[in-house]
Amino acid sequence: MLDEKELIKNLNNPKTKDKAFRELVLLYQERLYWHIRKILISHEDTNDVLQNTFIKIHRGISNFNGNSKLFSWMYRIATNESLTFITKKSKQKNVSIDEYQITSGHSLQNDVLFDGDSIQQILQDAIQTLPYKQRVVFNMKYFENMKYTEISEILETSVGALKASYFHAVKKIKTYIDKH
Amino acid sequence: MNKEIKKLEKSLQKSGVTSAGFKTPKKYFDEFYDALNLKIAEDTFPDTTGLNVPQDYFNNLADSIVSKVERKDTSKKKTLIRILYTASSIAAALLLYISISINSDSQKINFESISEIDFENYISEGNMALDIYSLTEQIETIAMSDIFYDDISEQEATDYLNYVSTDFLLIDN
Repeated sequence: MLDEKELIKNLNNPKTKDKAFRELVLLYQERLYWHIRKILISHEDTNDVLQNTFIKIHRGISNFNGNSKLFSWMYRIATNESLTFITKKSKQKNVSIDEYQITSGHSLQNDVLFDGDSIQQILQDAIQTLPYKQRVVFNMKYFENMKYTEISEILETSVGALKASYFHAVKKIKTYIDKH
Repeated sequence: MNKEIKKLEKSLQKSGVTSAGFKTPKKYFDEFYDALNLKIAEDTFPDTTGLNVPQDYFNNLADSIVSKVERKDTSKKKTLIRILYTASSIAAALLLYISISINSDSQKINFESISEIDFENYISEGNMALDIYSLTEQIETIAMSDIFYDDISEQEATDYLNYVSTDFLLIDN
């Protein structure tokens, strides 16, 4: 596996940029995909945002200053692109972001790319009721098993705040599942 | 045997070894109950989301992204060249105006008094060398934010130029 410093060096070299970029996409496409998909739910929306994310990464790699890990930087772009997408879509439909998220969750019932059982549907519905940041924190901690320190680097939020956010998220989800 | 064990215990106590020496993190027991409740709640949640992808999606994704990136790079360069040409045309008009007003003695010249023909003649007589390639050679990188003065994101600007007809900017080289 390519060393991160060498990968960044190759990405900033016009002669090796294309090859290095392809390697970068192959290396991180699945992880970024599933991060975005858990936020947006729809595969089509995820595909659009994932591609936009990589295009932004391609454009911005020369500005990457190495203060965080490359993956943390990419993850942050993906998270922000997802929020931008949701904000844009909710404005188009003239609803709040929260309302848009809840509607997205309900659409899973008819989604051919969802083969979860009823408890998984209820879980997704519950997650969609969370505020955006809480939802992202929950997905990263629960499904992606990331450490608080890793999440902190990506979301640029303190570990303490993340712990509190996760705690509230789990409580709300538990209450929702028990109710339904 | 029990007597021997008790003997050993007493000798340990005499030497001052009364605890294992382990410590807990700060506030560990204060937060333990909440952390435990969290784990119990998580235990009731399913492990997976149930979400799937179309067949071969990840096999084809890299090619799709790379070709999109290449298309956007080409389109951005063409747009930049068009914008530079327009800017240099405006600069040429200003130069023409200034040169005419400097050379004129009695008559007051303003921008409206320059006819289109004067302008075309000025350029066709080679007074303004509009070589796009030497113009662009001087510029290493221009960010969209340097050209656009409104609060428009780069993505919005690029999307606009890709979707709106920009035939009026086409230049024959």
